[in-house]
Amino acid sequence: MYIGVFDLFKVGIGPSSSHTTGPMRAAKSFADQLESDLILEDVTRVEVDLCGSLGATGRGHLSPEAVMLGLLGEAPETVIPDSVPSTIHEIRSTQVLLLGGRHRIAFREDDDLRMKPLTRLSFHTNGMVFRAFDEGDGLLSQRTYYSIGGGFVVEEGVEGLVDEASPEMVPHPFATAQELLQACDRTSRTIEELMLQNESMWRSRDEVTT
Amino acid sequence: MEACIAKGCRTSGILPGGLRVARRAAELQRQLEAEASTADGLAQMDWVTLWALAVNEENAAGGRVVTAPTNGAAGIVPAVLKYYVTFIDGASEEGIITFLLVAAAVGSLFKQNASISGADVGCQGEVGAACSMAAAGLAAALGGSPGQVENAAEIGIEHHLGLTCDPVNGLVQIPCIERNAVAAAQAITAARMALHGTGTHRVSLDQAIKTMKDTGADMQDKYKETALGGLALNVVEC
Repeated sequence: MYIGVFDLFKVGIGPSSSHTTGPMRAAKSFADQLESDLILEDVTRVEVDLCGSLGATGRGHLSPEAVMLGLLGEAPETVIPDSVPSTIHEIRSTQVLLLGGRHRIAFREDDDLRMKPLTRLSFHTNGMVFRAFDEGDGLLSQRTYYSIGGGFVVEEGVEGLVDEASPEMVPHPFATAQELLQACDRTSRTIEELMLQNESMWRSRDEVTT
Repeated sequence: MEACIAKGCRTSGILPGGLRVARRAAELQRQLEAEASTADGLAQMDWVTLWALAVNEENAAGGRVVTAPTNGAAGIVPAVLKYYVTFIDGASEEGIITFLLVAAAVGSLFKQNASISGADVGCQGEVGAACSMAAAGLAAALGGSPGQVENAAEIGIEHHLGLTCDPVNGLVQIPCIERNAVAAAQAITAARMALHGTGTHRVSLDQAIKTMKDTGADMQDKYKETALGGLALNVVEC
């Protein structure tokens, strides 16, 4: 898997890529999935477990706020940081959340967003479990995500990264520094020249360099 | 990155979260401007400190930042890049692009072969990886050979091996903000050290990254972004 310049340097909001940006992205992905599975409007309640390190330091890292924003359909790249406090205040005071930005559900943070520092899911400590229920409290959907650092998120049982569209093939793939240096040797090019060619697989040169 | 530095440099006050950590960047900038006429030979490093603090204070306040490669370590790459732009004669747009491309190449090595998650391997994966990326980016922008660039990256991570993640109160403030400033200085040192060498060196970047991964696996959970050990335990909340 190729990890590009714009995967590593991503616009987001503070204070943590793994504990703020990642959970926001996971929550948005969950809401988006409910929408594309055509069950968004059947949802009356959403339950979220933040496990391991997310449960332990999530409060200081604004993870609960990030999850609520994600459920609203906000993305880390586009959310307006200054608008966050009032948005969160409204959810907390009304106990209502617009799932996916359009479907009203009750959301009681104390019950529906649970910090589980002692639960460590096997793949990575930053595990998140999202569940959506219908009116009769039947489980409509359950998905598990992991925030694996730097804002990168993976979903259990799904290949690749959530919400990333890097190409599988690049002209100069490298998995180690040794392979990278060998590629420089072989092609008589510098590291930046190889990287620019890799990036150009899915962006024009101008896009890469602006 | 530039906008984040600028916003951080002009904003003062107390950071949210209850630790009552004061933002320092705005006051530091005022001091540095006042001292400009009497500045000594290391004044450039104070500016690097300023830029790193500015980014991480913005981050701690929930502001907009660019991961590099994470938020908690987001100040190092921009501070070192601004050092290049501001203080290097002949700095160019091409040099900035080189810097970021090479830093990303190094970052992808950490991501692929170890981890950039403090909850996974401790701070070595965040500030350590960022220092390595910035060192490599600077060495490349200054015209280093691929071997020298790899050496710079290796020095950048080697001396962060074993670094724990022990945020006081679980906030991305202490020790995170200051640590970014210190690591930015280390990245510049690493790049300069590598550029004075031939590129041939004993420990390879791949070996250092593998060591980081192994050390992270051995590290107790209380040192992995759980706020249950280290400074988080010994710094009493007041």
